[in-house]
Amino acid sequence: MIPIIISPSSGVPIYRQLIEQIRRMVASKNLLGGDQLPSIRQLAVQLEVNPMTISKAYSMLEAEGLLERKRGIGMIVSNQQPEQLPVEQRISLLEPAISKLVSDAKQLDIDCELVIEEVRKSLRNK
Amino acid sequence: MNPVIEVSQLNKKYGSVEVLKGVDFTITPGSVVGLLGNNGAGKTTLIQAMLGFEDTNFGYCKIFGDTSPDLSANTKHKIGYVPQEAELLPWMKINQIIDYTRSFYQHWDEKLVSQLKKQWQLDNNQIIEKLSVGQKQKLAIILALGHSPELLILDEPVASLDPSSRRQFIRQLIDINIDKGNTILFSTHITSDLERVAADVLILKEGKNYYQGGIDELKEKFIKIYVKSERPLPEDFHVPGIRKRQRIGGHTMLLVEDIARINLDAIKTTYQATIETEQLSLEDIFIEVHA
Repeated sequence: MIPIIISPSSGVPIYRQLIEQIRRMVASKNLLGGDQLPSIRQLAVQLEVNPMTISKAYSMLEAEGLLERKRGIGMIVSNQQPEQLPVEQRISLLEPAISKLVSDAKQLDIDCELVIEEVRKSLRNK
Repeated sequence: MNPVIEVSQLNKKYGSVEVLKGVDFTITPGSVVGLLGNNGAGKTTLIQAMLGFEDTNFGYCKIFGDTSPDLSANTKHKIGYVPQEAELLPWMKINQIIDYTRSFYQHWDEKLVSQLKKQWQLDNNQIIEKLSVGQKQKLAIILALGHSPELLILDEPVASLDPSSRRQFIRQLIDINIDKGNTILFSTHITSDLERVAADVLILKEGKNYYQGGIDELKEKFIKIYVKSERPLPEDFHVPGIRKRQRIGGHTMLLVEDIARINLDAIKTTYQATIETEQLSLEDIFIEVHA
């Protein structure tokens, strides 16, 4: 079973959550080129979501070149992964997390330097 | 593809009270559509008018090409309907009402019926009168699914179910939608269920359709924007598609119907403002549009 966790009541549409998590699994090599993804049906039943949602996510990842449709097998991770994104684009993927952190820090009235220090510490520990 | 349901300018009055004020929508085969609306928004009236249980004052509703209330026997056989409060014959036993219902149809999915009966712990010899509200609802769902209808219309099918039965029911809906490509329309107040199972939503507000379309698109377009500026925004401040506007201290909160149509940078420079945006869950959107 593929470790995907979705939260239906989030403001982020379910298909976007799926795309994001599959992208990350590929980026972190938890999914390798040639690996097979669950069928639309399997994943819809596993996650208890509308199959259209799964198929939308798969199609978008296919268009991106991350996944490939293989006849008789289904969706697999492309062997030819697109080049790693330039760092600016990868940073832009962090944008939602950053803006959440910033607004939480503001609400808690924590000094900016302290926040940066905490982030540094946390990064070093990883 | 011909729509399964086509509703046009549907209008319904009870005396002088206009319950439906010109509702338009179509539902294509294989889609799962959630019908959302406050109490009194007209959901049940709409469903009953569609099925021909209520006459209407203006407009029409077609199901499989037949105009309500003149639905052919063939069309009726293709519909499964679960009303808000199931009208079951109270003196019958569970197996009796199942046999009775089966006798109306040429085709009956024995396997599905007995599987659901088992899953939902309904015993053949239980008398309907003695069942709890939730058990009755489960039974009504089973009876509506038995003849493998192409179109399922459910009026708050899960209102009296406990969370685990609700989940099972959702799984069942997904299953039959995948297996048979059935079309499903269901009204509910439980938005998290809708977010899972439905791809499209129809929001009824005060007898009109407020929104029809994908839940994904709704979440991507309906965005809350907080504008914070030195001086408050002028009264006549305007951007396209404002659905709601509220002033909170120095902030102005705008709920917009399509974030892509709004030039946030222009607002930032014109009013020397900072802008924060917030994505909303279906429940939040629903509450915002009714607040």
